[in-house]
Amino acid sequence: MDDSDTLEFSDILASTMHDTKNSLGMLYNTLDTLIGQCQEKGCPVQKDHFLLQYELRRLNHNFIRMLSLYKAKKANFPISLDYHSVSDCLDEAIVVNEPLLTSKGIDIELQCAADLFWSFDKELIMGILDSMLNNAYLYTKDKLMVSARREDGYLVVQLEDNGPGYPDYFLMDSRRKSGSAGSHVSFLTGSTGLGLYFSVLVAKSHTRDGREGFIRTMNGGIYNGSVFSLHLP
Amino acid sequence: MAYLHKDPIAPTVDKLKHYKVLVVDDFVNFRRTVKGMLAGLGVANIVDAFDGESALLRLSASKYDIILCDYNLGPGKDGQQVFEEAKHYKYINYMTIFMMVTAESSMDMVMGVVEYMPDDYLMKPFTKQILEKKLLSVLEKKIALREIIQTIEGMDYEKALTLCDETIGKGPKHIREVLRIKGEIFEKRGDHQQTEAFYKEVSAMGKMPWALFGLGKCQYQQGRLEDAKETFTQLIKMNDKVMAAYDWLAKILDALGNPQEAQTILMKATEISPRALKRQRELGAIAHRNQDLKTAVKSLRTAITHGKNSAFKAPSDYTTLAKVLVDADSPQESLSVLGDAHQVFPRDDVGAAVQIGLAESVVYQKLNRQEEARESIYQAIRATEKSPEKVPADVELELAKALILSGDQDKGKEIVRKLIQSNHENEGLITDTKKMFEGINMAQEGQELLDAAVEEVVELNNQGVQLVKQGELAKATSYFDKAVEKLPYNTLINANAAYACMLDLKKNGKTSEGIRKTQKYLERVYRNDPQYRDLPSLLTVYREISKEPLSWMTATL
Repeated sequence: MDDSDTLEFSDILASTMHDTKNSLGMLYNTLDTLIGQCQEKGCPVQKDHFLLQYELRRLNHNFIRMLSLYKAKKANFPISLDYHSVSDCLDEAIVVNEPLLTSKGIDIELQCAADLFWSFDKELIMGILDSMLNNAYLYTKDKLMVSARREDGYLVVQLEDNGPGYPDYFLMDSRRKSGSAGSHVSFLTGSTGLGLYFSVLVAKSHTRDGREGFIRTMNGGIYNGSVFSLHLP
Repeated sequence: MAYLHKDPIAPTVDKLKHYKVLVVDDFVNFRRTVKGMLAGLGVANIVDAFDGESALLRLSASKYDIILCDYNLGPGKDGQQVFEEAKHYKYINYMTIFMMVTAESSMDMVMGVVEYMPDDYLMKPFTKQILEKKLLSVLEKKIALREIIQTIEGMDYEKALTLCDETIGKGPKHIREVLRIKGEIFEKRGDHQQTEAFYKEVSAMGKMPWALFGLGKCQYQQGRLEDAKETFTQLIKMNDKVMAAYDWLAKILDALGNPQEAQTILMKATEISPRALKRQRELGAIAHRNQDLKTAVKSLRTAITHGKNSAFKAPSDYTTLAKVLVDADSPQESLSVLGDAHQVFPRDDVGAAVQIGLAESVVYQKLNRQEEARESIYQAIRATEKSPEKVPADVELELAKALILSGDQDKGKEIVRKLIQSNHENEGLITDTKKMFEGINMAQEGQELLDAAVEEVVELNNQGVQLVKQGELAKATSYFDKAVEKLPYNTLINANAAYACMLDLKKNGKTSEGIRKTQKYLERVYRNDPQYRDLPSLLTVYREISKEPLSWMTATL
């Protein structure tokens, strides 16, 4: 035995998180079953259930991010590129989030050509989309547009809502290093900030012919709310 | 009974209820949840397993349509290993759906390439809706591509390529899979330049690990070792969890004359994925060659431990370790390792018995116990004589060497002669045989023996070919029938016997006996060497004379 009997605190933390995340998964599945049963009976506590679901999913995303960042520190950030149907991926992300969003009367629209294919790490990108869609539960009023297109040699995936929009300190373009909007400090204001930080890392890990992926947050768009866009080379 | 394998109709949710599903997870609550979801989808036949070993046991006992397997299964095998073993032993085939369930992200998950990529990933927690959606979309894909896969199995590569292009023409839906399949077809056809051009084109669309992997392999096959090294290095830099890339890189570094670097690469790989048996075995062997006995012992011991419950265990794990221990001056320990080996491998495994016996004789010689050394060899020989089974070529060669060294030259040489006559086109084996003779200072005699053995086969074959050329097909057929009796394991003789037989059938009319004979010869060719260069064209001729499928070739149905 070498030095393996003394554990680093970060390893203990990671293994605890892993275990906690398992429990979280069970909670989530149990809640899902409960919601299903309630829907059959048409019982009135539905709203609280969905709020619970939203919070559980948020916790889950936090765990995933932390564990991923922890592993990225331990080794490098391995990405598994493959050629994927963009519309299938968006569709999948929407299916997961639809029950939650429709429970609040949010209307989701998807605009993506069926023949749009792109090379990316599906799991990482799905993680970002899933987390953004879950956030919409809290931030949009009642509309959400998910769209994808090819633009200047990039795949652009965009989420637009009709909520109040991002606060100023959240507006950013990850290609720009400085300025209040792009600095790392703003990433740490709340978990959404950390989520954004993680999205930027994932986007940047996608490179092609010297170009890097990036994230932009704006206000405006078709619904005059917040606009989140992910650009992959 | 598996249902999916014979059902040609597009799947619907309704269909799911006919499928047999295996759920593998070490967490009982999770198994219960997933079983609940499946029951909710109407699936009646659900079996579960709590670890990799018991999953493989279930898979070996009966066929399943769908396997939902957690990646992290605790201290035993992980999900990827379960998948690879199940594939290797054909417990599952193309039509079986294998979904890998992952806990948080695949970041510390080992990645398989090409045929070892699971159909899809399910990230915990997932809902019934997602499970249903993913299962149906994988099902749809499998059914859409089934004909292509079957055509490849029948080695009709031209038709398979046409089918691929037709599928792409219908729409981009399955483009990812079809591209991957096309690469495999190009590889199988063996046109390296075309294969390389294809993989380069695909890599330009995005550096997919599988495309880089195919490119590197193809560069290696063309002898461009530096290029191949560069490609695999780049692949590992992009994704350090594609473990097969390390194996190739190590192989290339070794071929470039850098066994030390090769060892370093394998050590890095075993650090990331310590449970991979075959890699530990490779590392053990190369460390032994590098005289790094400590590493050799460690990795071979690991291979033995992980091999205990694995179908991948090999007698060489024990015999190599025994030889390393002899080099490390621990002959007693070495004997006890071989004693374990006798316990682990069944008595009727002749290949194992021979290898273990030979290793024992080496150890006894080291201990200066000549009597026992000789007895071990004769035990090995008696085992081969009693058994109708074919012993692996390298084992036979070792046996011959031991015999020659112990003074029984005639018997040893006779084994070599037969071995070479069965494999007279196998360059690797011929090189190994030459080296063996050189190593015991018999280079000249060995070369003469080899030349004579090869010449005899060539002569035997040429006479038959002559008859075919003269159009004496009936004569040629009966000539090759006799030749095959003489050399039942020779691939070329069997291939030509099949060819003569088919020409005869074409010209003089089909008989069921002739077709049966052809099938037998083709099967021998396939079993000796599934990659045999002339096999695809022989099969093309076969399809002209018979529509009867060759059951030993097709695994999809």
